[in-house]
Amino acid sequence: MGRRVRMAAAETFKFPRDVVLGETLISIEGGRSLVIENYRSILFYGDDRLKLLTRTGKVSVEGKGLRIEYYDEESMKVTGTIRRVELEGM
Amino acid sequence: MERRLARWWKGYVLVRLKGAEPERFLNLCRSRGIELWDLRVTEDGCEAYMTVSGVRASREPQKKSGVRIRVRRRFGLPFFLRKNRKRKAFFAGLAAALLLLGGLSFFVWDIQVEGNRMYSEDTLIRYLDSLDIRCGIPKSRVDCDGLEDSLRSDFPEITWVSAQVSGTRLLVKIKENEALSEIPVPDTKACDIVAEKDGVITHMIVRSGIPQVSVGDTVTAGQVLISGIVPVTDDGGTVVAEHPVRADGDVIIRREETYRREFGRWKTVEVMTGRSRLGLYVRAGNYSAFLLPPAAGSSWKTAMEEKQLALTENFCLPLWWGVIRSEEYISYERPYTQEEKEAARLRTAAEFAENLERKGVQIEENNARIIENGSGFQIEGRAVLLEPIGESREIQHSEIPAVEENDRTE
Repeated sequence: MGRRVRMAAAETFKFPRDVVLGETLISIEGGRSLVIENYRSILFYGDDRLKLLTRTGKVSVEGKGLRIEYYDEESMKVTGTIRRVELEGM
Repeated sequence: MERRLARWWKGYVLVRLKGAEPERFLNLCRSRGIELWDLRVTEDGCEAYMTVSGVRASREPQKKSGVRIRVRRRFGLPFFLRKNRKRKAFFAGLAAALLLLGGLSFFVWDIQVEGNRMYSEDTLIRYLDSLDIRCGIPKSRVDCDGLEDSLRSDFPEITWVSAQVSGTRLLVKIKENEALSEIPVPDTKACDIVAEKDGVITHMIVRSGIPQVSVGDTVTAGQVLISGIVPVTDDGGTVVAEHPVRADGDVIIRREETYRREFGRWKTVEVMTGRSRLGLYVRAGNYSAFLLPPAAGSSWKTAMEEKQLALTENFCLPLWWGVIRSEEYISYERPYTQEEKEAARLRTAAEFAENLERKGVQIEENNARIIENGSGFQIEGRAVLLEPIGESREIQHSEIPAVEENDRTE
């Protein structure tokens, strides 16, 4: 099924876009913890910056003492002091 | 928790990643299902935890990404066993403890009864004891079906019973019959209602029989209040027959009652000094031991709660323990103060009233006073009561007048 059809279905039937279109879902808990779902790969990982590739663009997380608590095919949990989350090309 | 336990069981390591492209290594590991967690960046590179199998499986990603991993610390059971492989006594002790636990798990170490209301737990435990079911017997000797049958047949009020051995605990759940097992047969023998106490009648209702007294009459103990012999008269008013019936009715009398309570001159007072001792109590089967610091001189109040050692909820062990708490007190005697005498007076009057009210007696007046005497003091009280009286007394055959017999012969 083409992307356009899936987008139309999501719009018409109010399906969740992260499920139908694989769009990135980001949850932040009080600036100390961040969970990102539907990412593709890790582009850069440093103490103060983490850059991820997603289906529709890039997500950049900036902060201090960033730690990846876990990561797997579907999601990743980042802890530390999160100062900024930037979405590129989305 | 389960995942952490699985990691510990199989062993895991803290590794440091060194190379130009650690991100590529992370992505390759992810695509191959190799688990890495708790990643952090240090001055010397990136550190992460990996399972032992993950380290073995990561050779290809290492080659492709040019990253080398270096093990910094090892965790988990395989490494613990390897590190302590020369401590034979430790492993022998561990094996002995496991064997002991395994051996103990073949016996019943706790019996629990649930759902009993009419039969006390003590009664049921004693009954189980009579069937040779007690703490310490092998689980194989407990016949749950037989036990259920025995309980049902020997305790007719038990309508449902379930016995099961779970872990080292025998759990007996019962349900008792809440309805009456048999309908009581009403007593239909002819009888009078007689007074069992002296007093003045204040209220009277007769449901069956002929009243012999009325409201306002003074009655004495043994006097007939309602007669069970009902006369049958003809049109002229002559008694032609008398039928015995069971007299029934409510009679309330007003009467006085006095009460008295003696108190000594001296009151024993116990004062806690604030000093306390803590000890430990251990019991295994019939053998017990306790550890308590020695007491210096004075009196101590000691309390202890016994608890059974259990590994899980149903895996009880034949070991009981408790903490002993002991508190020091000093006792001495002193005369009662006026406030204490007054409190004793009020308490005595209240206890007297409470006992009577529980029996359905109403109290119109209740006065108590303190009377000093040579050896101490006493509380004397007088109360005016409204009390239901009347007890059934069977009518003897000789009490039934001969007129009835004559009537029958005619």
